[in-house]
Amino acid sequence: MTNRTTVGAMALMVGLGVDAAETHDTHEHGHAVLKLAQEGTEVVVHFESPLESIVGFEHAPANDAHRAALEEAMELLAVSENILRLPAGCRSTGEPVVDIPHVADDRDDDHDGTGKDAGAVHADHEATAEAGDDHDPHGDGEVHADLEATFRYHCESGPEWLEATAFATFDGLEEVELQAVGPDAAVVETLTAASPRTVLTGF
Amino acid sequence: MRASTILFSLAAKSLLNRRLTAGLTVLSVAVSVALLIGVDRVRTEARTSFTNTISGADLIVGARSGPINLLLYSVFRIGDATNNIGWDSYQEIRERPEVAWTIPISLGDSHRGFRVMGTDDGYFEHYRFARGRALAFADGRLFVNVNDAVLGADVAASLGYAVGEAIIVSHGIGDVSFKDHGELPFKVTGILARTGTPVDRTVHVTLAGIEAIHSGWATTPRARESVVAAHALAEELKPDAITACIVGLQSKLMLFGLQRFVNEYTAEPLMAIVPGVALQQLWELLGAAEAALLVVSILVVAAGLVGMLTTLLTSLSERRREMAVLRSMGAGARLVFGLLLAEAVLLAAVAALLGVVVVHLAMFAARPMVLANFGFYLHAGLPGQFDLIVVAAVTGAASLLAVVPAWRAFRLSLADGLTVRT
Repeated sequence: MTNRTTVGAMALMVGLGVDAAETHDTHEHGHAVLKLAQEGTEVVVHFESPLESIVGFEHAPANDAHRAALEEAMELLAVSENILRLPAGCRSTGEPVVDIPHVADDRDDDHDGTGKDAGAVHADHEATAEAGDDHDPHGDGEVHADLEATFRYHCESGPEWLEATAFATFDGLEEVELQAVGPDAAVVETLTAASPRTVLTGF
Repeated sequence: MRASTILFSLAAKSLLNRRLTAGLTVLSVAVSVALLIGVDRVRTEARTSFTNTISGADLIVGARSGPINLLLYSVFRIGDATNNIGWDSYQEIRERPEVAWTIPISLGDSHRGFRVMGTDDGYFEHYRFARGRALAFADGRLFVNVNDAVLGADVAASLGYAVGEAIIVSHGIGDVSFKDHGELPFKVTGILARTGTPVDRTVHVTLAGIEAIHSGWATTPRARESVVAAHALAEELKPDAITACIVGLQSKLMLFGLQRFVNEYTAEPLMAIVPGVALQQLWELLGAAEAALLVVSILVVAAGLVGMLTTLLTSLSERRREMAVLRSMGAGARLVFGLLLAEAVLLAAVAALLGVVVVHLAMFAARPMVLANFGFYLHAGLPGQFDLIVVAAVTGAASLLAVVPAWRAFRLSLADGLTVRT
């Protein structure tokens, strides 16, 4: 894997964790959002999805299967082609920044030097998380968490089209709402597995 | 004389002879065509006008409601009022490194039916409409003092105000205000050039001015001084809250990052929307309703054409004598067939053209009302491509439908010959 996830950005998520969902705009399972902004030759794409649609659960990892799922998602998200495709004139620049709430928690616990072993979660931390005392903002057992990934591109000409490939990567996703903003145009389109591609008029 | 010319002049004369029924048929088709073109025109005009109203703004920040609601209220001054956002929150957003400029917006007051908006110099400097055009003064200058006001072109024109005049701002909206903030008259310092956007129907005052009306400052001795610079009172008349703010960024690439910051702002529930995206969402929402309206209007046109067909068919039995005379004078059965077709084409073409004229006149007449109530500007432009397509389609459909009476007339005129059964 060439694209390394940015640990610093993940650390930002510590403390936010599931709470992030409390102030987030929308949270609808199976529904992710792709936000594209273009200026000159630079393009930034944010991918935001409910955690549940990516890994199948939305709480702190409770077992090895959960931890493995989070790790796998992290690796998949670190490759932009797993989420979207842009025309050949656009090439990915910089490292994708991936925020997955619980993975960030885990990694933060690991900052003591044990390295990249994200699977090694402190038992006491996990117990706290499972008790849900600070991960249940609604206090009704309902927990929501969103993950976000940011991709950067350099485009020789405007990105004429965009194709969402996230459906093939994550079975839990049914639709991706594209919000693209260019210098003089905005495109809003709901993409599905059946029609994953749209023309970006005016970009 | 060519055969087709004879055909059309015969058809026209025959129609003139039955001018009442023909006129009513033309009218019913014209109304249906006007409806169809009107629906399409309003749809496209609304889109263009809304898109043209705000340009160059990256985000609009307001209290958390719905993106469309916030957009409509803060930019188009229509729909339900949104909650206010705290002055401190506004300052924090304004000082973010991503932010290049901000325009504060404070709504809620009115002057004789026109909205009063509190803002600052940033509005005149940064507000853009119609793909990057800046606001310009037709007369006078920017507001400087607490009680200065800058009028939109429509406000000045419809109320007959000139620079230097004094106006009273009232609380709430509507023509007759139940509570006049009568203590503090505002002086018109400038009138903006026409923009074709809701700006034309807005009275602009300083944020301090809005605060002065509401805080009771107007009754203090200081207010009696003739000129009080707004910035000198920036602290004294600092607003607690504003309705929304328009934000311009250093770079569009920072758009969604700042949007996330605002949406996750913890001190109060805020929301940042991208105007272009919110507009697209609005069109998506309205798409189904627009399609339904368009289908209904197409059906109305179809009903109008079927009505015309009915008229043509009923007229046939009355016109057997006419046909017989034509035949006796040497007209072939084909000419009778052609005559009926020509009639239908004439009726439909005249009706469709009349419809186009009617709709454009109606749009011109409805313009001020639409701008006042729905926040967009109907350009009474020249008939466009869609109008031509409708005229051609209606005429084409009419000539197809007319085959039925034409065929009947063709058959009857052969069978009847000159023997008219009574």
